[in-house]
Amino acid sequence: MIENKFNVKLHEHLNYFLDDERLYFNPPAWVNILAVMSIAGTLLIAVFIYFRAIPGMLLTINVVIALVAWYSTTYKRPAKRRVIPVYILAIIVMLLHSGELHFGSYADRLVALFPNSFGELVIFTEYWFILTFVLTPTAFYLLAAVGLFYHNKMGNFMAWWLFIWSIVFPASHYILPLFASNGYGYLPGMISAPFIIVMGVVGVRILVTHQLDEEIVL
Amino acid sequence: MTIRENVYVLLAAIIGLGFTGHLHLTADWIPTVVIGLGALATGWVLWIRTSLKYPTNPKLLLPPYLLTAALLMLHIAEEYAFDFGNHIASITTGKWTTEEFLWSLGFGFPLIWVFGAYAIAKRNPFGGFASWFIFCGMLLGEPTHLVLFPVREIMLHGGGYGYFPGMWTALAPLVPGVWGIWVILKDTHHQRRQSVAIERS
Repeated sequence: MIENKFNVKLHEHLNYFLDDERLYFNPPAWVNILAVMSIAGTLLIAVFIYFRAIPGMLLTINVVIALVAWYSTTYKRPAKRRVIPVYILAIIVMLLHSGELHFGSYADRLVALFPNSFGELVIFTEYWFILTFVLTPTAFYLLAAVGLFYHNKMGNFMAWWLFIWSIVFPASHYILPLFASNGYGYLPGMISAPFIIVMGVVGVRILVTHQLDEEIVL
Repeated sequence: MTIRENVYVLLAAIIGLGFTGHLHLTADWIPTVVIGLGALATGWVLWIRTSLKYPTNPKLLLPPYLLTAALLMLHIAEEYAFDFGNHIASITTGKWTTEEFLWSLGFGFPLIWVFGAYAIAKRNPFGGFASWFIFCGMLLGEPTHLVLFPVREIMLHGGGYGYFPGMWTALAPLVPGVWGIWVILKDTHHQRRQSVAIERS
C-alpha cells in the first residue's frame, strides 16, 4: 500500500510539467544574430591575438559588412535555392585563389612585407594560414551551403561572409603592398584576385536580387 | 548510352586514372588502393550502373552530398594539422610529404568534390560520378583510419594501438555518405520504374 502511494506520487510529480507533446527546436529569430556575433567576435579576438592587426583588420571589415548586408537582406527573407550554384562556384574559385596564395607562400611574404606588424611570437606561418584560412573555412562554407539549401539564417550569413570576403581579401593583395616599407611588389594572390572579385560581385548581386517572397521567422 | 553520356564516362575515367596515377607516384600503394580503387574505380562502376542514366534529384541529393563534403574537408584539416602525409609515408615505402598531401587532398580532390555539388545542382551527369566517388571513399576509405593505418603502424614500428592523423573525424563524413548512397539508389530505382512505365504506355 505504501509502495503504491509512493508510485502514484512519483508518477504525478514526474509528469506534472513535462508531458510528451511534440515540440520543435524553435528559438526566437534574434538568437541567430546573437550566435553569429558571438562566434564572429570570438574568432576576431583570436585572429588579433595570434595573427595580429593585418589579418584581424581584414576580417573585421568582412564581418561588419557581411553582418550589415545580411541583416538588411537575407536575414528576414533568405536567399532562394537557385543562388547555391553561384555560391559553390565561389568556393571553387576561392580554392583556386588559395592555391596561388600557397604557391607563393602568402603568409611568409606578408610577414616579410610587414615585419613590425607581426612581431616575434606571432604564428602567422604558412601552416596556420592553410589550416585557418583555407581548409577549415572551406569545410564551413560547404556546411553553410546545407544551411542555404534549408533557408537557414546562419547559412545565409555565411553566404554574405563568402561573397564579401571574395572582394575584401583579394582587393587587399593590391592595397597592402602600397604600405610596405620596401616598395610595391608582387603579393601572392594578385594574379587570380580579379576572378574571385568577379565571383564576389556576382554573388552579392544574386543575394540581393534572389530572396524568398515571404519572410521566414525562424 | 548516348554520346553525351559516353563523353562523361570517358572524362570521369581520365580524371580517375589521372588522380590514381598521381597518387601512385607521390603517395605509394595505400592511398592508391584506398582512393584509386576503393573510391574512384568503384564509384565509376556504380555510377555507370545507377545515376549516369538517371541523374539524382538535386533536392534529395544535395543535403547529404554537401554535408559529406563539409565533414570531409574538416577531416582533411585534421589530417593536415597532424602531418598525415608523413605518417602514411612511414607505413608504406612511400615518400608522401605534407606538401604533396596538401596539393592532392587539400586542393586537387576538393576541386572535384566541390564542382560535384555544382554539377548535382545542375543535374549534370558529372555530379553522379563525383557523388559516387566521394560516398565510396567515405564508406571504404574512412574506416581505414581506425583499422588499417594504426594496425599497420604497430606491425611495422611496434608499440600499442594509438592515434593516427585523421582518426577523430574519420567516421563523421561516413554517416551522410551512406545517407547519400541510399538516396541515389532509391531515386535511381524510382526513375527507372517511371521510365519503364512510360515506355509501356
